[in-house]
Amino acid sequence: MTVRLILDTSALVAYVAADTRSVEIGELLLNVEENGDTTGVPALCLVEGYQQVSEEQRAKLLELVAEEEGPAALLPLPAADVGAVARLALRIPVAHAHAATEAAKHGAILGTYEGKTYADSIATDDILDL
Amino acid sequence: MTKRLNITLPDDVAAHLEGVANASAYIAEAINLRRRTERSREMLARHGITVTDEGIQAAGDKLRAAEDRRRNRPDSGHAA
Repeated sequence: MTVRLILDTSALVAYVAADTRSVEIGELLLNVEENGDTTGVPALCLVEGYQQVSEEQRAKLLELVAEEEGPAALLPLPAADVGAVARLALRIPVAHAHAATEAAKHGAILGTYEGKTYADSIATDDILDL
Repeated sequence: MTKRLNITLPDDVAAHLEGVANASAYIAEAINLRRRTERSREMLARHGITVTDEGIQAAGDKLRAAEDRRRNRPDSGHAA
């Protein structure tokens, strides 16, 4: 299954925010899934998002990636990618580095509310500013 | 395990299936995708998120526009 969209920490936190941003992310997730593709959630973004939200919201974040056939797939940080993420993390936050690395690896669009913080670590055309 | 079924389809759907190499697999894949998205909609509802078909369509338009911008940038190898 093709990973067509990557959600970073800001998008994950928005998903559980219970406001219009949650709907925006939910509709993106469903559109990608209905087209037979999937949305990737980098593990480091999930961990970072987990730190930023309430206990109730944490359960929702985990459920989002829990099902093998759910709308989002958890993307681990394999050994082969650690170097690339580490190099990027010298310039941007480590979870951002994982998100940018996964977007490049899968040729996917990166969905974020913090597009500017990626600076020149990813082409602006690869970013979906939410 | 499989089960043989007799089903009735609209003419246009039946005509489309006639051009498909493995109609059974095609139908099974479509139904599985439908089941997946129904489960996802149920999960979103449990999470307090109410989506609309129009919103899902608009989200897809936004994502496709981003993909088109990327495809058309000079260094993509696909620019016109």
